[in-house]
Amino acid sequence: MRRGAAFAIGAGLVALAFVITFTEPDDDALEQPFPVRGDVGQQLVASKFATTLTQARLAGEVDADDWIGTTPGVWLVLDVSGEATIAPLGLDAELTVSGVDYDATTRYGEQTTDSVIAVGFPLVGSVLIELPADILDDAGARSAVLRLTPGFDARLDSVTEVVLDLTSLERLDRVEVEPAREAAP
Amino acid sequence: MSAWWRVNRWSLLALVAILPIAAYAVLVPRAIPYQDSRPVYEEHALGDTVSYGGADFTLTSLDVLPGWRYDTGSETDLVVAIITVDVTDPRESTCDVRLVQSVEGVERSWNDDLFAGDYDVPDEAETLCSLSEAGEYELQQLYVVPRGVVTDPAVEVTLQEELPRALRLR
Repeated sequence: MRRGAAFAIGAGLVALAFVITFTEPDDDALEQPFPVRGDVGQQLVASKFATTLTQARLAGEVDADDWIGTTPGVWLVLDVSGEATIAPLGLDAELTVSGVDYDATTRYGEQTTDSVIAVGFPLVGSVLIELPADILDDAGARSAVLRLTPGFDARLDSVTEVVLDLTSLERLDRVEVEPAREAAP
Repeated sequence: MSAWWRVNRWSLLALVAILPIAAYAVLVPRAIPYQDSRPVYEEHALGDTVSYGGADFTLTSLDVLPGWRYDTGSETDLVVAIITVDVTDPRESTCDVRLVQSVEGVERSWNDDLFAGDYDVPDEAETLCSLSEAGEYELQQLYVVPRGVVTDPAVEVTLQEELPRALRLR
């Protein structure tokens, strides 16, 4: 009886080891950032910074005065303010739709994500993300996730996220944007 | 004491000892390189001369000035750090000089600004902490900060190749 119990316990431990091995999270999962989620208009406070997405809309063209952004797709135009709370940092923006990541454009260099933000001096501006023309047909367009991170490497870091229903956003032919500017402390 | 305990006690006690040792053996080799990469700040007072990265550093003044006087904004202060740098062992390196201030127990830092309002850095002073030429020069670092936030400033001098050693001058 005692020998039988020992065999059963041993076999159980081996089975448990298999279960742990095959269900162990991969490296990506182990290094996932810690999101602070909220809504449009809400200030979201992460460990090193705070952000507020005040407005989101779609546009066929972006007018930045000295730069006109045309696209065969569609622009997601976001009004975003960011504030560093510990040390100077640069924000990075990424929109995920159905597992596909779209970064802020590199065609316009005066977005909220293009400057170093000093502690105590919020940076107010826009973030432009170029999306495929048929993005609204994607099932994931109703629950796209905008993630703002402190720099491009967000592994195990605290980040802010807003879930957007792209299909419900106002769609304009042209949106005017201004260069990001430092607001009063 | 049950017979089962008498038979198995040493094995169980050995397990209790082995588990933390195993956890230590797995985690510590990962933690040591991380800890070694973190700056360890040496505190020095205004006027002290400290050898670091082939140069002698002396913080000669660290003043918080009202921003309105220098046109950096009415809601700001201007912090000016003046450091005498005497390079004795030149190298192609620049050091990073950050302003730090503890606010409600959280340490906050600011990068220097090359220009700050209409504050005039004297022509003979430098604004870049360069260690490339032997000799002494005056380094002036300017920081624009929110008004009233910086009350007990310090500057941190960091040179990549000297990490984890770094200086905190106040």
